[in-house]
Amino acid sequence: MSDRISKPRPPALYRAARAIRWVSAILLVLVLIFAGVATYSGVKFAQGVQQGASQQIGGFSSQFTSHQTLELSAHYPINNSGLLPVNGLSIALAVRNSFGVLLTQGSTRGVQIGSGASTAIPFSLAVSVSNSSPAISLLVTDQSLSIFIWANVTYAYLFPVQLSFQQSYSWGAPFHGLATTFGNPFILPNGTVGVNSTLSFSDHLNMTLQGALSLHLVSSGGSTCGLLSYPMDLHQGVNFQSTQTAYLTPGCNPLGGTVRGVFTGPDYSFALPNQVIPQ
Amino acid sequence: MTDAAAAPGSPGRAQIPSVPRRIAAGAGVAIGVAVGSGYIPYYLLTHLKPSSVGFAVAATLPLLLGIAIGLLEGAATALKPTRLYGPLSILSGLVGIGYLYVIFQNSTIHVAVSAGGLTIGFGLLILLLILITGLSLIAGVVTTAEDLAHPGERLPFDYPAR
Repeated sequence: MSDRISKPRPPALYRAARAIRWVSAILLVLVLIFAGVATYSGVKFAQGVQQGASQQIGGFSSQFTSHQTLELSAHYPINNSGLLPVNGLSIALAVRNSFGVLLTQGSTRGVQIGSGASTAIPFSLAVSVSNSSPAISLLVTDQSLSIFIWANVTYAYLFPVQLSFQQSYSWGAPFHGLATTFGNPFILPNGTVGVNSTLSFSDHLNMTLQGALSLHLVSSGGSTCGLLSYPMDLHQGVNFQSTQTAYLTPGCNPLGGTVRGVFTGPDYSFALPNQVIPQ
Repeated sequence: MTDAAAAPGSPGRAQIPSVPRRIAAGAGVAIGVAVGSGYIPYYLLTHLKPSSVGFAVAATLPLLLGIAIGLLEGAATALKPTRLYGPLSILSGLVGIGYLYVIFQNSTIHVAVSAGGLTIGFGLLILLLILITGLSLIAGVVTTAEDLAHPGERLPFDYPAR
Protein backbone atom coordinates (compact mmCIF):
# COMPACT_ATOMS: atom_id res chain seq x y z
CA MET A 1 0.00 0.00 0.00
CA SER A 2 1.46 3.31 -0.96
CA ASP A 3 1.96 5.92 1.74
CA ARG A 4 2.06 8.62 -0.84
CA ILE A 5 -0.90 10.96 -0.67
CA SER A 6 -2.08 11.91 -4.11
CA LYS A 7 -2.46 15.64 -4.71
CA PRO A 8 -6.10 16.60 -5.24
CA ARG A 9 -6.93 17.91 -8.67
CA PRO A 10 -7.92 21.60 -8.73
CA PRO A 11 -11.47 22.41 -9.84
CA ALA A 12 -12.12 23.03 -13.53
CA LEU A 13 -12.72 26.76 -13.22
CA TYR A 14 -9.52 27.18 -11.23
CA ARG A 15 -7.57 25.22 -13.80
CA ALA A 16 -9.09 27.25 -16.62
CA ALA A 17 -8.22 30.57 -14.97
CA ARG A 18 -4.71 29.37 -14.16
CA ALA A 19 -4.13 28.11 -17.70
CA ILE A 20 -5.31 31.40 -19.19
CA ARG A 21 -3.04 33.36 -16.84
CA TRP A 22 -0.07 31.15 -17.74
CA VAL A 23 -0.70 31.54 -21.46
CA SER A 24 -1.10 35.28 -21.00
CA ALA A 25 2.12 35.56 -18.98
CA ILE A 26 4.14 33.44 -21.41
CA LEU A 27 2.83 35.42 -24.40
CA LEU A 28 3.60 38.68 -22.63
CA VAL A 29 7.17 37.63 -21.92
CA LEU A 30 7.66 36.44 -25.50
CA VAL A 31 6.18 39.62 -26.98
CA LEU A 32 8.25 41.83 -24.69
CA ILE A 33 11.45 39.94 -25.53
CA PHE A 34 10.65 40.19 -29.23
CA ALA A 35 9.79 43.88 -28.93
CA GLY A 36 13.06 44.50 -27.10
CA VAL A 37 15.10 42.68 -29.74
CA ALA A 38 13.16 44.44 -32.54
CA THR A 39 13.66 47.85 -30.93
CA TYR A 40 17.39 47.32 -30.51
CA SER A 41 17.65 45.95 -34.01
CA GLY A 42 15.49 48.76 -35.40
CA VAL A 43 17.67 51.39 -33.75
CA LYS A 44 20.75 49.79 -35.35
CA PHE A 45 18.97 49.76 -38.71
CA ALA A 46 17.88 53.39 -38.33
CA GLN A 47 21.40 54.42 -37.32
CA GLY A 48 22.72 52.72 -40.43
CA VAL A 49 20.16 54.56 -42.55
CA GLN A 50 20.85 57.90 -40.89
CA GLN A 51 24.61 57.75 -40.76
CA GLY A 52 25.50 55.56 -43.69
CA ALA A 53 25.15 55.97 -47.38
CA SER A 54 21.51 54.90 -47.36
CA GLN A 55 20.29 58.44 -47.72
CA GLN A 56 22.06 59.05 -50.97
CA ILE A 57 21.05 57.78 -54.33
CA GLY A 58 24.14 57.18 -56.36
CA GLY A 59 25.43 55.86 -59.66
CA PHE A 60 23.36 58.18 -61.81
CA SER A 61 23.36 57.59 -65.53
CA SER A 62 21.05 58.63 -68.31
CA GLN A 63 20.34 57.48 -71.82
CA PHE A 64 17.82 58.02 -74.55
CA THR A 65 15.97 54.78 -75.01
CA SER A 66 13.36 55.34 -77.67
CA HIS A 67 11.35 58.04 -79.33
CA GLN A 68 11.42 61.13 -77.09
CA THR A 69 12.13 59.14 -73.98
CA LEU A 70 15.00 59.62 -71.59
CA GLU A 71 15.82 57.01 -68.99
CA LEU A 72 17.39 58.01 -65.69
CA SER A 73 19.08 55.16 -63.84
CA ALA A 74 20.65 55.04 -60.41
CA HIS A 75 20.76 52.84 -57.38
CA TYR A 76 19.79 53.21 -53.75
CA PRO A 77 22.26 51.61 -51.34
CA ILE A 78 20.80 50.34 -48.10
CA ASN A 79 22.42 48.59 -45.21
CA ASN A 80 20.60 46.48 -42.64
CA SER A 81 22.86 46.42 -39.62
CA GLY A 82 20.01 45.20 -37.41
CA LEU A 83 19.44 41.71 -36.08
CA LEU A 84 16.18 41.07 -37.93
CA PRO A 85 15.42 40.94 -41.65
CA VAL A 86 13.90 43.71 -43.67
CA ASN A 87 10.95 42.43 -45.69
CA GLY A 88 9.31 43.82 -48.78
CA LEU A 89 11.42 46.93 -49.14
CA SER A 90 9.94 49.00 -51.94
CA ILE A 91 10.99 52.44 -53.04
CA ALA A 92 8.89 55.09 -54.72
CA LEU A 93 10.56 58.04 -56.41
CA ALA A 94 9.40 61.30 -57.89
CA VAL A 95 11.55 63.77 -59.79
CA ARG A 96 10.58 67.44 -59.83
CA ASN A 97 12.26 70.36 -61.49
CA SER A 98 13.27 73.55 -59.69
CA PHE A 99 9.72 74.90 -60.11
CA GLY A 100 8.30 71.86 -58.38
CA VAL A 101 6.79 70.43 -61.55
CA LEU A 102 6.61 66.65 -61.56
CA LEU A 103 8.76 65.26 -64.36
CA THR A 104 8.52 61.56 -63.67
CA GLN A 105 7.83 59.04 -60.96
CA GLY A 106 8.24 55.34 -60.46
CA SER A 107 8.80 52.60 -57.94
CA THR A 108 10.81 49.49 -57.35
CA ARG A 109 9.52 46.08 -56.39
CA GLY A 110 9.84 44.77 -52.86
CA VAL A 111 13.15 43.20 -51.93
CA GLN A 112 14.31 41.44 -48.80
CA ILE A 113 17.51 42.32 -46.97
CA GLY A 114 18.78 39.83 -44.46
CA SER A 115 20.29 40.70 -41.13
CA GLY A 116 23.69 42.32 -41.53
CA ALA A 117 23.40 42.47 -45.29
CA SER A 118 23.64 45.47 -47.54
CA THR A 119 22.44 45.90 -51.06
CA ALA A 120 21.98 48.48 -53.76
CA ILE A 121 18.49 48.63 -55.20
CA PRO A 122 18.61 49.66 -58.85
CA PHE A 123 15.88 51.72 -60.43
CA SER A 124 15.26 53.49 -63.68
CA LEU A 125 12.78 56.21 -64.49
CA ALA A 126 11.46 56.97 -67.96
CA VAL A 127 11.13 60.65 -68.64
CA SER A 128 9.13 61.84 -71.62
CA VAL A 129 10.90 64.73 -73.34
CA SER A 130 8.21 65.36 -75.93
CA ASN A 131 7.22 68.92 -76.87
CA SER A 132 4.21 68.79 -74.59
CA SER A 133 6.18 67.52 -71.61
CA PRO A 134 7.56 69.88 -68.95
CA ALA A 135 10.68 67.74 -69.04
CA ILE A 136 11.65 69.02 -72.47
CA SER A 137 13.66 71.74 -70.77
CA LEU A 138 16.01 68.98 -69.61
CA LEU A 139 17.35 68.91 -73.16
CA VAL A 140 18.47 72.51 -73.29
CA THR A 141 18.83 73.81 -69.71
CA ASP A 142 21.05 72.72 -66.85
CA GLN A 143 18.96 72.58 -63.72
CA SER A 144 18.77 71.31 -60.22
CA LEU A 145 16.32 68.44 -59.90
CA SER A 146 14.74 67.34 -56.65
CA ILE A 147 14.38 63.62 -56.17
CA PHE A 148 11.85 62.60 -53.54
CA ILE A 149 12.29 59.11 -52.18
CA TRP A 150 9.88 57.07 -50.10
CA ALA A 151 11.12 53.72 -48.87
CA ASN A 152 8.47 51.40 -47.43
CA VAL A 153 9.43 48.35 -45.50
CA THR A 154 8.10 45.92 -42.93
CA TYR A 155 10.68 45.54 -40.21
CA ALA A 156 10.79 42.50 -37.95
CA TYR A 157 7.46 41.26 -39.39
CA LEU A 158 5.49 43.65 -37.15
CA PHE A 159 6.66 47.18 -37.77
CA PRO A 160 5.82 49.07 -40.96
CA VAL A 161 8.49 51.69 -41.54
CA GLN A 162 8.47 54.51 -44.06
CA LEU A 163 11.57 56.52 -44.76
CA SER A 164 11.24 59.64 -46.86
CA PHE A 165 13.86 62.09 -47.90
CA GLN A 166 14.76 64.48 -50.64
CA GLN A 167 17.91 64.68 -52.67
CA SER A 168 19.11 67.26 -55.15
CA TYR A 169 20.63 66.26 -58.44
CA SER A 170 22.41 68.60 -60.81
CA TRP A 171 21.19 67.85 -64.29
CA GLY A 172 23.49 68.61 -67.20
CA ALA A 173 21.58 69.23 -70.41
CA PRO A 174 22.89 67.72 -73.65
CA PHE A 175 22.11 70.92 -75.59
CA HIS A 176 22.60 73.49 -72.84
CA GLY A 177 22.19 77.05 -74.09
CA LEU A 178 20.97 75.90 -77.52
CA ALA A 179 20.83 78.92 -79.83
CA THR A 180 20.51 79.37 -83.56
CA THR A 181 21.52 82.75 -84.92
CA PHE A 182 21.08 83.94 -88.48
CA GLY A 183 23.13 86.24 -90.64
CA ASN A 184 21.77 88.54 -93.33
CA PRO A 185 20.09 86.72 -96.21
CA PHE A 186 21.88 86.75 -99.53
CA ILE A 187 20.77 85.95 -103.07
CA LEU A 188 22.64 83.49 -105.23
CA PRO A 189 23.00 84.09 -109.03
CA ASN A 190 20.26 81.55 -109.68
CA GLY A 191 17.88 83.55 -107.52
CA THR A 192 17.95 81.22 -104.51
CA VAL A 193 17.97 82.99 -101.16
CA GLY A 194 20.51 81.73 -98.68
CA VAL A 195 21.09 82.54 -95.02
CA ASN A 196 23.97 81.58 -92.80
CA SER A 197 22.90 80.09 -89.50
CA THR A 198 25.13 79.37 -86.54
CA LEU A 199 24.18 76.68 -84.07
CA SER A 200 25.79 76.72 -80.65
CA PHE A 201 25.36 74.84 -77.37
CA SER A 202 27.32 72.97 -74.70
CA ASP A 203 26.90 69.30 -74.04
CA HIS A 204 26.73 68.71 -70.29
CA LEU A 205 25.08 65.30 -70.37
CA ASN A 206 27.15 62.39 -69.06
CA MET A 207 26.62 60.27 -72.16
CA THR A 208 27.82 60.22 -75.74
CA LEU A 209 25.43 61.51 -78.35
CA GLN A 210 26.05 60.25 -81.85
CA GLY A 211 23.71 61.07 -84.66
CA ALA A 212 22.50 64.10 -86.56
CA LEU A 213 20.64 67.22 -85.57
CA SER A 214 18.35 68.52 -88.26
CA LEU A 215 16.91 72.01 -87.99
CA HIS A 216 13.75 72.92 -89.88
CA LEU A 217 13.20 76.62 -90.54
CA VAL A 218 9.43 76.91 -90.38
CA SER A 219 7.52 80.05 -91.39
CA SER A 220 4.87 81.53 -89.14
CA GLY A 221 2.35 79.91 -91.47
CA GLY A 222 3.78 76.47 -90.84
CA SER A 223 5.62 75.92 -94.13
CA THR A 224 9.16 74.56 -94.06
CA CYS A 225 11.42 77.18 -95.64
CA GLY A 226 14.76 75.45 -95.23
CA LEU A 227 16.62 72.58 -93.66
CA LEU A 228 19.96 72.33 -91.90
CA SER A 229 21.64 69.12 -90.79
CA TYR A 230 24.53 68.81 -88.36
CA PRO A 231 26.25 65.46 -87.89
CA MET A 232 27.27 65.08 -84.27
CA ASP A 233 29.54 63.02 -82.07
CA LEU A 234 29.17 64.72 -78.74
CA HIS A 235 30.76 64.02 -75.40
CA GLN A 236 30.25 65.64 -72.07
CA GLY A 237 31.93 69.04 -71.92
CA VAL A 238 31.95 69.71 -75.66
CA ASN A 239 31.15 73.28 -76.69
CA PHE A 240 29.56 72.93 -80.07
CA GLN A 241 29.47 75.74 -82.62
CA SER A 242 28.92 75.32 -86.33
CA THR A 243 27.75 77.54 -89.16
CA GLN A 244 25.87 76.29 -92.19
CA THR A 245 23.96 77.91 -94.99
CA ALA A 246 20.28 77.31 -95.33
CA TYR A 247 18.77 77.68 -98.78
CA LEU A 248 15.23 78.90 -98.53
CA THR A 249 12.26 77.69 -100.51
CA PRO A 250 11.23 80.40 -102.97
CA GLY A 251 8.50 82.60 -101.55
CA CYS A 252 8.89 81.23 -98.02
CA ASN A 253 9.83 83.69 -95.30
CA PRO A 254 11.08 82.16 -92.05
CA LEU A 255 11.25 85.47 -90.18
CA GLY A 256 8.86 85.37 -87.24
CA GLY A 257 8.69 81.61 -87.59
CA THR A 258 10.45 78.90 -85.60
CA VAL A 259 13.44 76.65 -85.73
CA ARG A 260 12.38 73.08 -85.03
CA GLY A 261 15.22 70.75 -84.19
CA VAL A 262 15.15 66.96 -84.21
CA PHE A 263 18.06 64.86 -83.03
CA THR A 264 18.22 61.38 -84.50
CA GLY A 265 20.51 58.83 -82.90
CA PRO A 266 21.15 55.15 -83.69
CA ASP A 267 17.93 53.90 -82.13
CA TYR A 268 16.23 56.94 -80.73
CA SER A 269 15.16 60.45 -81.67
CA PHE A 270 13.82 63.46 -79.88
CA ALA A 271 12.67 66.94 -80.73
CA LEU A 272 14.27 69.99 -79.19
CA PRO A 273 12.25 72.95 -77.94
CA ASN A 274 11.23 75.32 -80.73
CA GLN A 275 13.27 78.50 -81.12
CA VAL A 276 11.66 81.67 -82.36
CA ILE A 277 13.24 83.33 -85.39
CA PRO A 278 13.14 87.07 -84.76
CA GLN A 279 11.36 89.27 -87.29
CA MET B 1 -14.63 39.14 2.91
CA THR B 2 -11.61 36.87 3.24
CA ASP B 3 -12.42 33.23 2.64
CA ALA B 4 -9.64 31.99 4.83
CA ALA B 5 -11.18 28.65 5.56
CA ALA B 6 -11.22 25.79 3.15
CA ALA B 7 -14.37 25.25 1.20
CA PRO B 8 -16.34 22.06 1.89
CA GLY B 9 -14.91 19.17 -0.06
CA SER B 10 -11.59 20.95 -0.73
CA PRO B 11 -8.35 19.05 -0.14
CA GLY B 12 -7.18 20.95 2.90
CA ARG B 13 -6.84 24.19 4.67
CA ALA B 14 -5.32 27.20 2.93
CA GLN B 15 -2.29 28.87 4.42
CA ILE B 16 -3.05 32.47 3.61
CA PRO B 17 -0.22 34.96 4.15
CA SER B 18 -0.69 37.64 6.74
CA VAL B 19 -2.20 40.97 5.78
CA PRO B 20 1.11 42.86 6.10
CA ARG B 21 2.82 40.33 3.83
CA ARG B 22 0.02 40.60 1.28
CA ILE B 23 0.18 44.39 1.44
CA ALA B 24 3.93 44.22 0.94
CA ALA B 25 3.49 41.89 -2.04
CA GLY B 26 0.75 44.12 -3.45
CA ALA B 27 2.94 47.18 -3.04
CA GLY B 28 5.75 45.44 -4.86
CA VAL B 29 3.48 44.49 -7.73
CA ALA B 30 1.97 47.99 -7.81
CA ILE B 31 5.38 49.64 -7.97
CA GLY B 32 6.66 47.22 -10.62
CA VAL B 33 3.63 47.59 -12.88
CA ALA B 34 3.46 51.37 -12.38
CA VAL B 35 7.13 51.72 -13.27
CA GLY B 36 6.90 49.36 -16.24
CA SER B 37 3.69 50.65 -17.76
CA GLY B 38 3.69 54.21 -16.43
CA TYR B 39 7.03 55.69 -15.54
CA ILE B 40 9.17 54.10 -18.27
CA PRO B 41 6.82 55.25 -21.10
CA TYR B 42 6.62 58.69 -19.41
CA TYR B 43 10.42 58.87 -19.17
CA LEU B 44 10.85 57.83 -22.80
CA LEU B 45 8.23 60.27 -24.05
CA THR B 46 9.56 63.24 -22.09
CA HIS B 47 13.09 62.51 -23.30
CA LEU B 48 12.03 61.93 -26.90
CA LYS B 49 9.77 64.98 -27.21
CA PRO B 50 12.54 67.60 -27.29
CA SER B 51 14.46 65.62 -29.89
CA SER B 52 13.40 64.96 -33.43
CA VAL B 53 11.04 62.14 -32.45
CA GLY B 54 7.34 62.86 -32.54
CA PHE B 55 4.61 60.81 -30.80
CA ALA B 56 1.06 62.08 -30.59
CA VAL B 57 0.33 61.18 -26.97
CA ALA B 58 0.89 63.45 -23.96
CA ALA B 59 3.55 61.97 -21.69
CA THR B 60 1.38 62.29 -18.59
CA LEU B 61 -1.34 60.01 -20.01
CA PRO B 62 0.71 56.78 -19.90
CA LEU B 63 2.03 57.85 -16.50
CA LEU B 64 -1.45 58.25 -15.00
CA LEU B 65 -2.89 55.15 -16.64
CA GLY B 66 0.21 53.14 -15.71
CA ILE B 67 -0.12 54.20 -12.07
CA ALA B 68 -3.83 53.30 -12.17
CA ILE B 69 -3.06 49.84 -13.56
CA GLY B 70 -0.29 49.43 -10.98
CA LEU B 71 -2.65 50.31 -8.12
CA LEU B 72 -5.32 47.91 -9.40
CA GLU B 73 -2.81 45.08 -9.88
CA GLY B 74 -1.33 45.77 -6.45
CA ALA B 75 -4.77 45.77 -4.87
CA ALA B 76 -5.67 42.55 -6.70
CA THR B 77 -2.48 40.90 -5.42
CA ALA B 78 -3.08 42.03 -1.85
CA LEU B 79 -6.72 40.95 -2.01
CA LYS B 80 -6.10 37.70 -3.84
CA PRO B 81 -7.62 35.55 -1.07
CA THR B 82 -10.86 37.54 -1.24
CA ARG B 83 -13.73 37.66 -3.71
CA LEU B 84 -12.49 41.06 -4.84
CA TYR B 85 -9.58 39.46 -6.65
CA GLY B 86 -11.58 38.54 -9.75
CA PRO B 87 -13.35 41.91 -10.16
CA LEU B 88 -10.09 43.79 -9.54
CA SER B 89 -8.40 41.67 -12.21
CA ILE B 90 -11.23 42.48 -14.61
CA LEU B 91 -11.00 46.19 -13.83
CA SER B 92 -7.22 46.13 -14.23
CA GLY B 93 -7.63 44.37 -17.59
CA LEU B 94 -10.19 46.92 -18.75
CA VAL B 95 -7.97 49.86 -17.79
CA GLY B 96 -5.04 48.12 -19.44
CA ILE B 97 -6.98 47.61 -22.65
CA GLY B 98 -8.07 51.26 -22.56
CA TYR B 99 -4.47 52.32 -22.03
CA LEU B 100 -3.30 50.17 -24.91
CA TYR B 101 -6.15 51.38 -27.12
CA VAL B 102 -5.06 55.00 -26.61
CA ILE B 103 -1.53 53.99 -27.60
CA PHE B 104 -2.88 51.96 -30.54
CA GLN B 105 -4.72 54.98 -31.94
CA ASN B 106 -1.43 56.85 -31.98
CA SER B 107 0.82 53.93 -32.81
CA THR B 108 3.08 55.81 -35.15
CA ILE B 109 6.38 57.46 -34.36
CA HIS B 110 7.85 60.12 -36.62
CA VAL B 111 11.58 60.66 -36.59
CA ALA B 112 13.04 63.63 -38.42
CA VAL B 113 16.15 62.70 -40.35
CA SER B 114 18.19 64.98 -42.53
CA ALA B 115 16.13 66.14 -45.52
CA GLY B 116 13.30 63.78 -44.69
CA GLY B 117 11.63 61.67 -42.09
CA LEU B 118 11.25 58.16 -40.72
CA THR B 119 7.82 56.85 -39.76
CA ILE B 120 7.53 53.69 -37.69
CA GLY B 121 4.22 51.98 -36.97
CA PHE B 122 3.83 49.61 -34.05
CA GLY B 123 0.08 49.01 -34.14
CA LEU B 124 0.44 45.22 -34.55
CA LEU B 125 2.56 45.00 -31.42
CA ILE B 126 -0.07 46.94 -29.47
CA LEU B 127 -2.80 44.67 -30.85
CA LEU B 128 -0.85 41.67 -29.55
CA LEU B 129 -0.59 43.31 -26.14
CA ILE B 130 -4.33 44.05 -26.18
CA LEU B 131 -4.96 40.39 -26.94
CA ILE B 132 -2.74 39.32 -24.04
CA THR B 133 -4.45 41.79 -21.68
CA GLY B 134 -7.77 40.44 -22.91
CA LEU B 135 -6.65 36.96 -21.82
CA SER B 136 -5.88 38.28 -18.34
CA LEU B 137 -9.31 39.87 -18.27
CA ILE B 138 -10.92 36.56 -19.22
CA ALA B 139 -8.97 34.87 -16.43
CA GLY B 140 -10.40 37.48 -14.05
CA VAL B 141 -13.91 36.70 -15.29
CA VAL B 142 -13.37 32.98 -14.74
CA THR B 143 -12.03 33.57 -11.22
CA THR B 144 -14.99 35.85 -10.44
CA ALA B 145 -17.38 33.16 -11.65
CA GLU B 146 -15.56 30.54 -9.55
CA ASP B 147 -15.66 32.74 -6.44
CA LEU B 148 -19.38 33.34 -6.94
CA ALA B 149 -20.20 29.69 -7.53
CA HIS B 150 -17.84 28.14 -4.98
CA PRO B 151 -16.50 30.70 -2.53
CA GLY B 152 -13.11 29.78 -1.14
CA GLU B 153 -12.70 26.82 -3.48
CA ARG B 154 -9.48 28.09 -5.00
CA LEU B 155 -7.76 29.11 -1.77
CA PRO B 156 -6.17 25.75 -0.87
CA PHE B 157 -4.67 25.69 -4.36
CA ASP B 158 -3.56 29.31 -4.35
CA TYR B 159 -2.14 29.03 -0.82
CA PRO B 160 -1.48 25.35 -0.14
CA ALA B 161 -0.60 24.48 3.45
CA ARG B 162 2.99 23.33 3.84
